[in-house]
Amino acid sequence: MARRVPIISQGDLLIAAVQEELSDSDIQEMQNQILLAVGRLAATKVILDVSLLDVIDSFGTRMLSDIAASVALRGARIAIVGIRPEIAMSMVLLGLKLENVPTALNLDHGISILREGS
Amino acid sequence: MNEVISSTIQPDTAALPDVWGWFDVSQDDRARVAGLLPLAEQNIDAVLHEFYSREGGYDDPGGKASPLGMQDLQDVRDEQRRHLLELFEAGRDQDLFKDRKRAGLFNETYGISPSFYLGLFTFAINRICDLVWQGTDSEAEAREIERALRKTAACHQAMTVEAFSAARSDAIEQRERQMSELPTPVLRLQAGLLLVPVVGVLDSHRSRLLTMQILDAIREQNARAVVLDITGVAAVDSMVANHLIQTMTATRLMGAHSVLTGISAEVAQSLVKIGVTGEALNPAGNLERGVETARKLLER
Repeated sequence: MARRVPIISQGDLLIAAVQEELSDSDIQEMQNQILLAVGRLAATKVILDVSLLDVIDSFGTRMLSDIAASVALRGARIAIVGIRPEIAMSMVLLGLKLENVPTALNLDHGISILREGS
Repeated sequence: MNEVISSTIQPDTAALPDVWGWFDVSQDDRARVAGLLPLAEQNIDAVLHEFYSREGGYDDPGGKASPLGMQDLQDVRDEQRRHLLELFEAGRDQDLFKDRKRAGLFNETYGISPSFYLGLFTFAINRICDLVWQGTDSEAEAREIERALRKTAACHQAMTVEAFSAARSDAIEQRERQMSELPTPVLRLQAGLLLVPVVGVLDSHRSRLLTMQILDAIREQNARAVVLDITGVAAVDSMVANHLIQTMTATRLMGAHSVLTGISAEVAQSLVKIGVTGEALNPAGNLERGVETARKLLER
């Protein structure tokens, strides 16, 4: 059973909050939904909230950077918020640095980063 | 812990014939020594008793710092008796290294000095030789047996001492390791700003721990900036530099800024030599400037 990730829109801001562990295909579906929503709602800012995820595998970490890059190609800016310590550690060990993606500790912080930049 | 140590002492089993060769111990010699087992078993207790009852024989096997209690003393006596008897079981090649290793480890653990061990061994061998001379009719045969016994004994002693020194250097390494595991506090300078003074040696184990500590603190305290001060880190090699970069990258992934301060002239030179440039580490000249920089990052 596929799990859907709720995507909330507020003005030109989209918030996708991952609720539970996602399978590989769920993550791809989420990427699809986010990209479609960016186009449909003409959003310029996207927040991907992963604070509820406590495990993430190498595919998941790679998908995070893929999502960020593809959102940028759709003309919006993205911030990933709420990466947990364990996940940050495993991403670093996997060599994934998300160099060009702003990250933030929580939703508030993430929104303020995106607003500053515009 | 002993298992850990003994597992790290890995002699090459194939080298056993070599060792016998160095000491010129032939198969005949070993058969002669093995033939002495009944004699040794009969007399070992008397010999040991004689050794221990001599003046200064056994009061203090480990030198003045020996912390042995009565029970330990008994253990030591039993174990030394076993070491001696093993000498005569020369047929069991596969156990030999293991037994010597165990003997060396035992001596190290109980703080028995090699000199004491060798003294006891020599004393016992001399006594056994006396018995051989008494009990053998042919003088030539007795001489052969004595030579065989002495060669085998020397070989045993050498292996035990070798295992002893290996166990000792492992113990020293262990102690150094404990020294390097000094706790590193993660201090809160103000709301959202953490200070981590790193002191001592950064190895991979410790830096992993340190990273997790910092990341957890960022989460718990909602920190937006971390100042990492390495004034107290003596040497930074490529591995340590890599750990530092990993820590700072993980910090950024969590959404906090990090600043590295306290890079000494030597450390800066060695960092440049191994190809680490400034950008990855976000350095600041000293702690004061580092904290200033971090405060500015907070306001953004």
